[in-house]
Amino acid sequence: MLLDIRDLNIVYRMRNKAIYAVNNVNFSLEKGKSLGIIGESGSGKSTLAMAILKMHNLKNTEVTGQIIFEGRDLLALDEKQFKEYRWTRIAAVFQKSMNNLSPVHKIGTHFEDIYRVHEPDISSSEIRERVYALFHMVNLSPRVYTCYPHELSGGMLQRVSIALSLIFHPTLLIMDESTTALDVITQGQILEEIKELEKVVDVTRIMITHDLFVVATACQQILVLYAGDMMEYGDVRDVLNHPMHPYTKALIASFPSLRGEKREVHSIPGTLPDLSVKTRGCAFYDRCRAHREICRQEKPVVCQTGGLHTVCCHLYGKIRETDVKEGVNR
Amino acid sequence: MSSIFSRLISALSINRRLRSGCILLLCVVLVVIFAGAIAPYDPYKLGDDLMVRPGVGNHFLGTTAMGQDVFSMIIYGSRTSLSIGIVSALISGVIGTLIGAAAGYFRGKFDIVISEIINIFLMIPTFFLILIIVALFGSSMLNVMLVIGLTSWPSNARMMRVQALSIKERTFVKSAVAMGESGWRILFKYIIPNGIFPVVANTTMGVASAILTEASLSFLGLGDPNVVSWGQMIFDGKQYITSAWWISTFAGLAIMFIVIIFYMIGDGLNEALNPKLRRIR
Amino acid sequence: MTELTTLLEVKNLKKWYPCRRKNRLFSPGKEWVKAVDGIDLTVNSGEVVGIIGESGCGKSTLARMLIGLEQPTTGEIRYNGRLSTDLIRDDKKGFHRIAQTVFQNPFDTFTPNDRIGSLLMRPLKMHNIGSDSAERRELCLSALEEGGLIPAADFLNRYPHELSGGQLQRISILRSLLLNPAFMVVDEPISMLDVSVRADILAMLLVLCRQKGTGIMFISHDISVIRYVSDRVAVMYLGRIVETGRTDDIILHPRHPYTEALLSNCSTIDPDDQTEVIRIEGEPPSPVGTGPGCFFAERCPKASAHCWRAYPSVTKAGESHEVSCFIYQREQR
Repeated sequence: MLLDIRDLNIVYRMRNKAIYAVNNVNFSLEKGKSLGIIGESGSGKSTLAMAILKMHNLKNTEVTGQIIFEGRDLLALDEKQFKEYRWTRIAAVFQKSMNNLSPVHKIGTHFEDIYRVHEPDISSSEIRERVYALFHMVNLSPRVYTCYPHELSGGMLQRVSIALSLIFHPTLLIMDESTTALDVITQGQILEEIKELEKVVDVTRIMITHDLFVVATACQQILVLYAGDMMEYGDVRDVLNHPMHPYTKALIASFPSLRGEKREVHSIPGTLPDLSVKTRGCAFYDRCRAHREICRQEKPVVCQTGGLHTVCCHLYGKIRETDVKEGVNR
Repeated sequence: MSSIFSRLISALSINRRLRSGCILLLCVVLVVIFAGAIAPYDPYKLGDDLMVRPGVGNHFLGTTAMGQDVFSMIIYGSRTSLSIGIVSALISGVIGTLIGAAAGYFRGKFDIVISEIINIFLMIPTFFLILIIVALFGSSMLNVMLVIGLTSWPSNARMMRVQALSIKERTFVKSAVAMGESGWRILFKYIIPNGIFPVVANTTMGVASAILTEASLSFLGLGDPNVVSWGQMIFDGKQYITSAWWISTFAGLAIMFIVIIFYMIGDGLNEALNPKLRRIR
Repeated sequence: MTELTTLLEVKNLKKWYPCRRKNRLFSPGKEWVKAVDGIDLTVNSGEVVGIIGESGCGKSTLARMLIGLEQPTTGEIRYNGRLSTDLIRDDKKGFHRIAQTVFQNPFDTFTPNDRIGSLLMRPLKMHNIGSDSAERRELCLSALEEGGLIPAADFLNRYPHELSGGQLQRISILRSLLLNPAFMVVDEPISMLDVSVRADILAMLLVLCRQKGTGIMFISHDISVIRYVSDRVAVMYLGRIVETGRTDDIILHPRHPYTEALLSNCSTIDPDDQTEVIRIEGEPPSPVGTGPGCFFAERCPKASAHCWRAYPSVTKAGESHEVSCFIYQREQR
């Protein structure tokens, strides 16, 4: 098991209120099975990613639970110990990673600097060779090495960011909306490239996105978050073809189809619940079409329905089979 | 418009420096209003006690060479300083806002001309210009206010122009244009209310520098001779600095005090209203 | 659908921006950024025309010209047969009642200082719709109710920052529709909204426009959304339309290599979808110094020598399906 997250809770403490950003999230990630975390704004998906990277300001953020990475609990490590992990074992690419490149330095300089810090004896030609290999992986021409950031397009810069994140061959790569701002063709091609990447390097991805397309194309597993709560988890194929949670169903129904039959799309009525109030029942309760009284009263428990596929919904837990059908059809 | 006030109120509650500055300013304003009641003597009255040390007799801060009560002069002097500071900063703020916003929003030749004028003003030593004008046209309080106001607007204009340039690109301005809103209305309804906060902060700081300029003018003997002003007190007291240090010193402290108040307010406003600085805090 | 009347007619529309040469000393003269470089397009009343294209293809410039935010360099824009320049000259406000828009970013569409009520009533007052403020208030209330913002009176007293993106975008659409425009340009209206509220915004926009017979130009980079909303689609590349036609003709049977590539790179939410991705070399070039050949030639996987020499003319590929491509022309012969 590469990553095992147990009972993760993240609370932002503010002056006069608390934001419960992530509540009781449990999942595990196997090597080579890339995970897509999907959720809308306020679902806690980025908060979760930051917790894995230990990027939270602990002065106002409470992170409890366990994040077990390669057998060690990251939350128990102090900043100095975690340095061994950050970027060397766990790397990240963000939506705005490209803005992190210094505009007055050539692309190559960014790589040289990082190599020099970690391996002071390395020669320039050696660095060059390694960077060219990285560039090859992300489909960049070696010419980019001597370019300045402003000479490159958004897609190329994002490829540079990906190459930067791969310098030390991390085992876990977190990509937070890293293709969101790009054009259709560029996004499509970068997604293809990172799928190819897995054949060359031994890296497992966690892709955080609001876009089901990204997960459907580039991930093997999916975790659906809503208002900080886990809704559904499983193989992408299982979850997208046979969604169980009403939220997942509604989310899929809100995407128009590109090919095949044209279908109606539907919104989910209502708005995200107030995250500063700890809900007693299911977070999706008031927007759910199949809700019951119990959904308001109690948190649903995780319910394994075969294989990896788990769902957090009363429809599949305590209620009898017959009720399930009735509830879904309502 | 009401949200400008609500933003100011919320700024007051967040920023400690702004809050204490405002409380102190309120005290100063009370002093200005009730100067007659607070001051024990008439500041213009030439008393019999010449150059009395502070604390001696009823003279809390001593007297001048002419026998005027220093404490009363400082109390009355606050009127001069505050009114010159505020009026000239207002003149400069209003002119700067209007010209800067128009230049930034309408662009074109007007903007080119204004930008050049701003550059010229920023290059020439303004204080000497003020000196010349006051020397030529007389040094009544009104003149001093006007001159300081009319020479310090370019920094406000430059600030407002930059604001206008960026707000112009915001969606709500574009949507107003698409709705058919007229240019002038966009200027007054959309550009200025949304971009005025840094100018407000800058104008507050401008009060402080206007007070200093007035003091410098008086110190050089170019102040209005008919009113009591702190600068003039320093000017008058400087020849007795060895024998009667208190005349210049307390006036100097008063200037320092009021300038610090306005810097606190200006800085606090800047921090509270400028979205960029607010994020860092 | 009722009988179609041509609402908007765009002929050979161009927008060129001057740009400085990098090396002005040795090669004087201006270079042009050809943001929009000769577009012919019609929109019928009650019809939704989708525009697809990558960033920098000129779709937003086109939108800005249509609503009068920018002046075309050359070319004609006609609403109901009348030139837009004439319309603006005769009655500038009247022009804004014909062509309206909805912007991409709902969070920035309204001045933060005003309440929704005054924001909605302002355009009515400006265009003298409704006799007094009480009547205008009623108009706004009924519009809000139509748009599903209930209770409407509550919304009138709210400030923009108190509302969600979805609500703001509804209000933005409603405000534009208060003027009863004959034509609306909507530029990426849902790309900044949460996925789960997008469908309702689209539905609201479409229903209201159908009711009023408003013609819509819907600009988006999300092709599945375009497919969902539009009757016809135009695909833009570097300031020109490379292919137009009925939506399903384009999406299911694209003729232009660019459209094919674009569509193949769009993933679906179906994990079993096995569409082969067509790789395109290079990055989208900038619209500077294009031509003389087909603009897409340097990235086109099918390009032949001929493609570099001249820009392909428009070829009919079916009823109301037009494509500008030499490869297609040759295949047909």
